Order: sequence, then C-alpha cells, then structure tokens
Amino acid sequence: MSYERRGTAPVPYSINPRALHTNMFGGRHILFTHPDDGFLFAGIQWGPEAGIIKGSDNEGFDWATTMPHSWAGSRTEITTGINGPATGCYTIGSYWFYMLTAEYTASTSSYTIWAASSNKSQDDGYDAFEDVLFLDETKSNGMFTTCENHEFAFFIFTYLWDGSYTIFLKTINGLSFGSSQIFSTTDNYEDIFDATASYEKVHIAALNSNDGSSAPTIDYICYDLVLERYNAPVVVDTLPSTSHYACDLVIARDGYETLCMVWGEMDAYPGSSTVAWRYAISTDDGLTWTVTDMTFETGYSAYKDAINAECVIRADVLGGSNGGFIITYTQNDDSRTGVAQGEEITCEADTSGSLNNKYWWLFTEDTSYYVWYNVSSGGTDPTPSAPSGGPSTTSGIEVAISTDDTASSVASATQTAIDAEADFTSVVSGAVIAVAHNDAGVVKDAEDDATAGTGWTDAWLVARLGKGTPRSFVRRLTTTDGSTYTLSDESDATNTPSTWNIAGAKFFYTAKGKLPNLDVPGNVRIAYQIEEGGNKEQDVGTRLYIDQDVLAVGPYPTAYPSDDGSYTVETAGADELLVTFEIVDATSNNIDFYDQGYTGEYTTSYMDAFSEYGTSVRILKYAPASTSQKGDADAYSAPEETWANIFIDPLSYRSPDRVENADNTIDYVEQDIRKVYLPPDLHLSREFILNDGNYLKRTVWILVYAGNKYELTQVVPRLIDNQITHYECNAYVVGPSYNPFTRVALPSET
Amino acid sequence: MSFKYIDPDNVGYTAGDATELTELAFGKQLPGQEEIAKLRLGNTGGSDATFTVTGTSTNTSILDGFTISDDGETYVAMTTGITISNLKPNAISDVIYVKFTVPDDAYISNGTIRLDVAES
Repeated sequence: MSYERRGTAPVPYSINPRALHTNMFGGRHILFTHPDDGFLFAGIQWGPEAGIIKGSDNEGFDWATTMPHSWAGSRTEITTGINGPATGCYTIGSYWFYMLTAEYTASTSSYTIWAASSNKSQDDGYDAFEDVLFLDETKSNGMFTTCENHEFAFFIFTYLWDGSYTIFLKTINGLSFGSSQIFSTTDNYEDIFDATASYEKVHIAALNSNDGSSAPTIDYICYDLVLERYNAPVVVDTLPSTSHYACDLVIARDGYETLCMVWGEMDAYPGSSTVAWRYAISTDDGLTWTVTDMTFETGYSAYKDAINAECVIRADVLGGSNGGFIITYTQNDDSRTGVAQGEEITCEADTSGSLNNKYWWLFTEDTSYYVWYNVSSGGTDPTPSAPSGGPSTTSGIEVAISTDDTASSVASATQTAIDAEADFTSVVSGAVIAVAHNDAGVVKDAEDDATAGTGWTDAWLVARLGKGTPRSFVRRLTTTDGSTYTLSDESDATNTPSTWNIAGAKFFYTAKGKLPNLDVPGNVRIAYQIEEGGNKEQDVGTRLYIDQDVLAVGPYPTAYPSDDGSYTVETAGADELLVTFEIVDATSNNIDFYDQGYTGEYTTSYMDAFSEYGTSVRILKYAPASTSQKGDADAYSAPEETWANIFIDPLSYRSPDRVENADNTIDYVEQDIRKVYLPPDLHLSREFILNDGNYLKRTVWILVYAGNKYELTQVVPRLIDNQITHYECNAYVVGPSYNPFTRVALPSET
Repeated sequence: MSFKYIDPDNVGYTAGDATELTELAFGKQLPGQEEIAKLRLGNTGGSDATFTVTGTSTNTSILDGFTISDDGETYVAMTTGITISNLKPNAISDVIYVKFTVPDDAYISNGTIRLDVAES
C-alpha cells in the first residue's frame, strides 16, 4: 500500500508500533503541541531506543529540518517492556520550549528524566536544543505526563517507591524547575495516569490498583496551586473486580471548567480479551463524577496492541473553550477483512540428516504447531511443549524429506505438509515458503525452536495484522450550559482512504493551557498512526507512519451549514406551476448587494446623500497572498487604493487611556473606535485563505483618516425593502495594541 | 380537469379572460428571509369543481421552507395543501398565498418547487 501524504508527516516512518501510544498508558508522555506562534511540535517514539522531537515552523507542511531533536545512545536505552520510552514536549511562556525523555539505566533498573530546552527568539524561531538533567533522582519503573496552564508547566511522574507507585509533581517556570512535591500516599497508584491544569489547580487522573486487595479504582486527585497541597483522592469509578484493569486514562477540562476523563476498562490484565471505553464528567471541580459506560457498536471489537495483544482503546481527549470535549479512540472494524498474519521462512538444505527431528514453530491463536523434519524416515515425533508465549495446545506438522535434500526440496516438502493443515495456505519460491494464515488474528510470530531448532539463520519475516482492521474515531461531548453533556455519533478521526489502517490518534494541545473552539472545524489538529507496525518495539522490517492534519469538516461530527450544494431547477409538468427561487447568500457572507442587484430608489437616495454630504477618504485594500508562509503584514500583497465619500461618527472616539504598569511604566492604550457608514456601492469584499504557512488570513481594509489608520471590520449591510442602502462597520485605530495583519479574524467576523 | 393559474394582479371578469400565470417567481432571497407570492385559480370547466393545491419538488430539503394559505394568515405545509371548494364555472378563486422562509443553512443556489392542482 502506498501513502501519498508523507509531506505532512513529522517523521518519514516509525518502527515502533506504539509510536503515539505507549501501550496502556494514558497521558501526554507522547505529546503533540501547538504553540500559538505557528510552530508545531511532535514527540514520537521512533523505536524503543529513541524518542524523537520534531518541529515545524509552517504548521506542519515541513518537519524535517527546522527543529529536530532526538536522544540517542545511553540516554534512551529503554529496552523493552511496558514501561517503554516516553517523550513529551511543551512550551513555557512565549519563548521556552522543553522536551522530555526518560533514560533507563539497566544496571540500576532505574529511570532518569532528561529535558532539552530551546529558547525561541521573536523572529528567528527556536535555537538549538541543549540537554539538561531534569530529574536528578533516579526513579525506578516510572512514567510521566505533562500539562500546562497560563503560567506554568507541570511535570507529573509516577515511580515505584517502597513497593508502590507514588505521584511526583514538579512545577516549571521558565528556566527554573520549581520545588517538587511528592504525593505521599498509602494508595497504590499505577503508572497509568494523566493530568490537566487550570489556573489554580492541577487535575490528575490515576489508576489505583489498591494493591490487588480490592477492585482497582479510577481516582481523581487535585493539586491546589494556591494552597500548595493535594486534596484527598476522589474515587471516580470502581472497576468490576480485582482482575479488571484500566488503560489509556486521559483527562481534560473545558471552558466551563468541567472535567472529563476517558479510559478503557479491560476485562483482565494481563490476558485481556476485551476492553470497553468509559468516560466520566464532573461539573463540580472533581467532587462528584458521572460515569457513562460505552459498548462497541455492532461490527466493532477491541483493538489489540500489536506487541502484547492486550486490548486497548488508545484514547485521547481535548476540551473546548466554548464547552464540551472531543474524544478519540480506536477499535477494530470487523466488517473490514483484516490481512491474516503471514510469515516467510527461508529453508536451508539438509546435510547428512542434519534436519532430522529438528523443528520450528508456527502459531495460530489456539495452537502452537511444530514443523518437524523426518529425514529418510529416521525421525520420531519430538512432541515438544509449547514455547513461551505460544498457545499451550501443540500439534505436529511432519515434513518428510530425504537426506541431503536441497533447500528448495526442503521448502517444497514443507509447503506440502503445512498446506495439509486447514489453518494455513503456503506458497513456495525456491527455498522460501510464504505461509499465510487462513484466519485473521493476533498471533505469535513463527520462530525457530530454541533447543532443537533448524538453525536456519535467515530472518523469519513477518507481516501481521489483527482481526479486522483498526480505525480511529472521534466523538464530541457537546454542551450549551456546562452542566449537560451530549455524546455525538462517532466519526472517523481522519480523512484518510477507507483502506488505510488507523491505529490510534492524538490531539495537538495548544500551549499554556489554551483551549480551542471545538465548534469551528479546522481548530483541532490531530496526529494519527497509519498501520499497526510489527510485534516488537523496534521492528525494523515493519514500518508504520505518523501523519497529522487538521480535523476538518469531513470527520468533524458537528452538523455544519454547507454551501457547496445546489438545488435542481425542475420542469413543470402538466397541470403544474413552476415556483422559482434564488438564494443568493447570507448577509454574514459579505456579499456585494449592490452588484447582486439589491438596489432601488432607496439605494439611489442614499448614494446621493453619501455623494453630497460624505467625507472623502482614502481606503486601502490589502489582499492576503496564498503563497506566503508568514502570519504578519508580509502575508499580504501591496494595497489597492480607493477613494470614497463616507460618514464617520465622531462621538465614538475616545482618547487613549493612560495605563500604569506594575514596573511603573506608562502605556497609552488607544481606544479610538469609530462607527463608519459606507455607501451602498462600496462593498468591502473579503477573501479568507489558509496560506502556505497555514495561517488563516483575510483581506484587510484600512481607512486613512485624520492622520490615523483604521481597520474597517465587522461590516453589517443595511437594507430597506431588499434594497441596499449603506454598510455600517467599526473602525479600529491601528497601533501597537491593534495590528490588523496579525490578529486572528475568523470568517464569522464580517 | 379544467383550471387555470391566474396572475392575481391581472384578473379579468372571468377565468377565461384573466391573464394566465406561467411561473411564480420569488426572486433573490437571503437565508432567513421570508417572502410571499400570490396567485389565484380559475375554473375553466363547465361545472362546479373543488381543487386541491399542493406543492412538490425534487429539492426535498427546501420544500419545508414553503407553506401555502388560502387566507394569508394560516399556512400549511405544501405537502398538505389547501382546498378550494365548489368553484363555479369560469369563476376565479380568492388569493392563494405561498410563503417561502429561506432556511439559514440553505444552499446558495437557484431552484424550483412545483405547484400541483388536483380536482376532486
């Protein structure tokens, strides 16, 4: 399968099937951030030994050259297991950008957290990164997450302490790492947790295993930044039994300060057979929670982690400034035929009976098959026990060959024997047998036996996929009042072709705790994993891909007015009368009513009045340039000049206000906002574009009047009896506190 | 079935004299706007007749924006329609009102619906 959108991928590929999601962990240890300056950062697991940070200074069009950073060598020697490498990145204030990774020291079985920092200059982007030791205490077996508010970044780390996990929180402000607090508790928190921050609190979601003595609980812990203390944990949900477990626990807040947790409830761990996703809402600052149990819709089943086959949901959640949340999760679409696992085994020749009674293993979900060689009828069935990781049920596949058979002959005989089993279909090409599993499923890779193996040295190549194919979805929790939340239908999280396997997605988080308006399609950016990858944390033979895109109208689960359709002009039949209509546009769409023919005697009268009594002014039109990659005045072409007679309401002028700053300096904040009336034939046409730097830009109209420049905006047409008479708009003086070329103006602003 | 769509502003003495209406045009409208168009119906047959006027269209999403009334006050859905009872031969009905309220999420487009008359 070919993928055509590599140009927007932070990395060309990854070899870690948990590139976006470290197994069952929630949290933002793998983080995508979107500082409010046009830069994007992506923290991705490259392999088990490399966390990598990539930056883009043009909203994701290019990722390769500007700010890559990765840790190599001992700093990222986190080998295997569920506590794999973690990578995070976030901004501090306006200028500092940090990345984190965990270093595993094998000799002490402990972790150290390293940070790399970079200073961003206003004009030239980010400087080269410098490594700093972030957590100078080695902690064993930990995992971290990060979050930010308007002032600080918070680093939350769990580590094993005295036999149980303890939550550790560290505050970061600029270059200084603030004092750390340890949440000392007798509870037994797992390293499955997440956090989000508001102005005064850090909200932490954590899985409490209760040391296995009782059913695990999903806990909410609040750290009060004012009082500098933790509040007592609140149990959000109790899992059904001690064998149940949770995965992918994430938490977010919205503009109403409502909290939302999402997690997957596994029926067992290890060895889960299913998982269901849950979400919980708290509208009272975490004191009480309402949990909603979700089940798979018909045709979907649990997605299984490619490495350990545990059922996970790969969730993420993002809060909206206008209230509500958007949730992503991943599940298998059973209706789509998954590609069954296949293996390629390269056979070698027998040498004087060297293969006699030697065997290798081929697995299904239920059976461990040992493929053994009986050379010239001199062998006996070895009847071995299943190897570690394979199903305990064993079955032999006898391959009869002759002494000194060539590799091709061995392969041919092996194919015949394997095909006798209903579970497999194989083809042979020379010495290579390609074995396809007839049933899709997550199974252990074929392997040579450790003690009585063939000794064949060529790679046992594997191409694998699970049952069905994974798809990532999004759903919105919408609200109008911050108290009642409604879950929308699920939609695909990506605009990718239906044949692509999307095995998890993560939202980009805006810097400093800012929240996007979820009602505006295009405000949310999402990164997603294409293909599942291999079954190892570093499977060099099986690549997967990370792509990113704005969550546009296509997958956005909000009904949104569409203007791209049309109505049919019919022909009247016998006895019918044709009723015609012409819907021209909405007033908010900034149309030229004069040009559209909305004119009449009222229009003429108003035009005469403007011509006779209006003030002659110069008006400049700045059109945005689509090829620009800038977000300021450079994103516009040279202005076009127009002269017009207009009316300016002098009463709306206010003198600049004198503002005393904390450092005893004084600013004069301009308050020159005027009401302006434009003649009916002066239409301020606007063009909204997303330029090549992915900045939303619109046409800027500047009024030159009385020595000042004003931006003309918020234009409202005035019509009488469907005749345009004039336009009203506001004129904002252009100055240090108001720059029309850099401010964000949404299409809703006319 | 003998009837005639009649221009309400050019009514003759009889249905036969009146100017036939060949199209009912709402013209340009903005989303959210409301407009009313008028017509009459003439009985060109030789006996009393009762007519039902309804509306239909392939533009099903916009049809709900149209309503019809026989008194200018009470409007019903186009699919329901109105009934003009016992219209005398060569008589002309009272004004029939067709109101179009443009939905806010309407397409920016030209289009049509069709008025249909059935005699019962």
